[in-house]
Amino acid sequence: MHSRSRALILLGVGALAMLFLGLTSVYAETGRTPVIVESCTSCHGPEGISQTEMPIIAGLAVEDMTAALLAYRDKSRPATIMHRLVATLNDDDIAVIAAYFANIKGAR
Amino acid sequence: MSRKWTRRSALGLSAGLAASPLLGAPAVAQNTADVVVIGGGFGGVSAARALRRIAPGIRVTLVVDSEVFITCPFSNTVIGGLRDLSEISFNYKKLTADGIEVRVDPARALDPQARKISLRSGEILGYDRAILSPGIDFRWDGVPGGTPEMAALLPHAWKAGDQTLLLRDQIRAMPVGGTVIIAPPDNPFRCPPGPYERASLIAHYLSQHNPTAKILIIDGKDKFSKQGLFMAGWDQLYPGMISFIPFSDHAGIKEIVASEKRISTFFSDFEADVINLIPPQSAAKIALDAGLAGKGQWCDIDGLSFESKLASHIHIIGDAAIVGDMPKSGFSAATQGKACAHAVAALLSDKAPERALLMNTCYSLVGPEYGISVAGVYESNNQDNRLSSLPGTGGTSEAGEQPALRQSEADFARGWYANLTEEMFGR
Repeated sequence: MHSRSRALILLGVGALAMLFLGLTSVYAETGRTPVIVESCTSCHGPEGISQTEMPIIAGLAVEDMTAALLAYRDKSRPATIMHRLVATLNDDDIAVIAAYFANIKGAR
Repeated sequence: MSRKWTRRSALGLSAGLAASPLLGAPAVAQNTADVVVIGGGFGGVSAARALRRIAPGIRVTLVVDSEVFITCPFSNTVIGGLRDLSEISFNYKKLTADGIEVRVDPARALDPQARKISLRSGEILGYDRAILSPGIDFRWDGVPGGTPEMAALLPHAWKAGDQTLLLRDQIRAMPVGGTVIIAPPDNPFRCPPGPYERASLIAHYLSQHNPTAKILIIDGKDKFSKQGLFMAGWDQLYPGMISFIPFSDHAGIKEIVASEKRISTFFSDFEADVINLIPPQSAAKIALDAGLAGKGQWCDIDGLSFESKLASHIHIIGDAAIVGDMPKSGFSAATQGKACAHAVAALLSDKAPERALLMNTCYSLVGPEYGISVAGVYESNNQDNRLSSLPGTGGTSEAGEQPALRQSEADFARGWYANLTEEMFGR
């Protein structure tokens, strides 16, 4: 993987690499963290790699993160605070969050 | 694939964009831009690091007052004897390692027309865009007979550090059965739940070391943040120890005799052994002096770009700013700092800032194993970009929850603090 990334950098086609990684929206276009994700990491740690009592959300499969956020949103999953934070997330927001954290590896 | 691969590829992407003749002007604009961030707290550090991360071509200078930053969040745990000051103290070494130029040289003045910032040393920094996160200063003229020197006797402990230790030590030295007065200001002020978490953790300390002592909250307002939750927790953990005296029951502070630890209100007089006088506040002096608050006390900004409504190319975040419905909290400042970094990166690439949700999450400890929280979700509206609370989101922990849930929120409070400060100062 390392040599592949280096090759991509040399080619200057990082944006395409992001598309290959299955990301959506701004992240795919620019390589930047989507703004909405910036709120997640304040609690769940840099890149979602919590080293504390807060759950690690990095590396969660897209379908698992999507299911969790949908369940918090419709209040079918017990929560202390997440149901209050995700109540108005739309499906696109959830897709962006799920795609971003699924791509962060090395946490699990 | 390691997570470092992701980071490297993001850096590589930007480097690739900057180097590529095919992709043109925006990256070139980024490459030549200078952004100066003023303020080494939650807003400034989060903005500087986010900007460095998302737009490595921009030169980022962070201007701070001191080599060490001591957080106001969790400073109540120091006052309550749960933590040492060193556990809430951080330095900027990782920021320097990231390639941020950290200047320990307090900003003294800002000239929005000339786009110049004067530092204490006399040095002057120019900028393409400035991000101002200077925090608050105290309005001593809002305290009867108030002067900054008063804090040596009646600590505010509303900027963490020596003041935190002074208040802690005064409480430790109190006579048996003594009285602590906490006098919070009217809204708006830094950290709305802070005085009540403070009352809680002082009560925790006193219940173990001085159980007949009392805490009086002589408040500048009639209601406070998470009030029902705090009061239910006080009844449960510290019955009879904390009394809340709302503004309408005293009609305001008329006189303070600091040497005698005496407060006279318009209705009655109070004597105490320790007085934690939290003065009313404004945006920090540098922002007021630069005219960024107009005739008011706080800086009005655009909720999409965080740019000042009174001066172009200056973005203002954190406690100094009026950020729609967002509270003046460290977490809000951090969220705003990161969103502001995205906006500044976009503007320096001649793009419009992206409309996005911003969140705030604030935990308070009623006791070491008893946590409560308030959350909010905000979005800039389409009319005037004001960051407005989204209906149906946020709010506080439920009343009447089981101890296991309060315990869980206390654990999350510690995790929240550790992760937030890790994102700012660590990894």
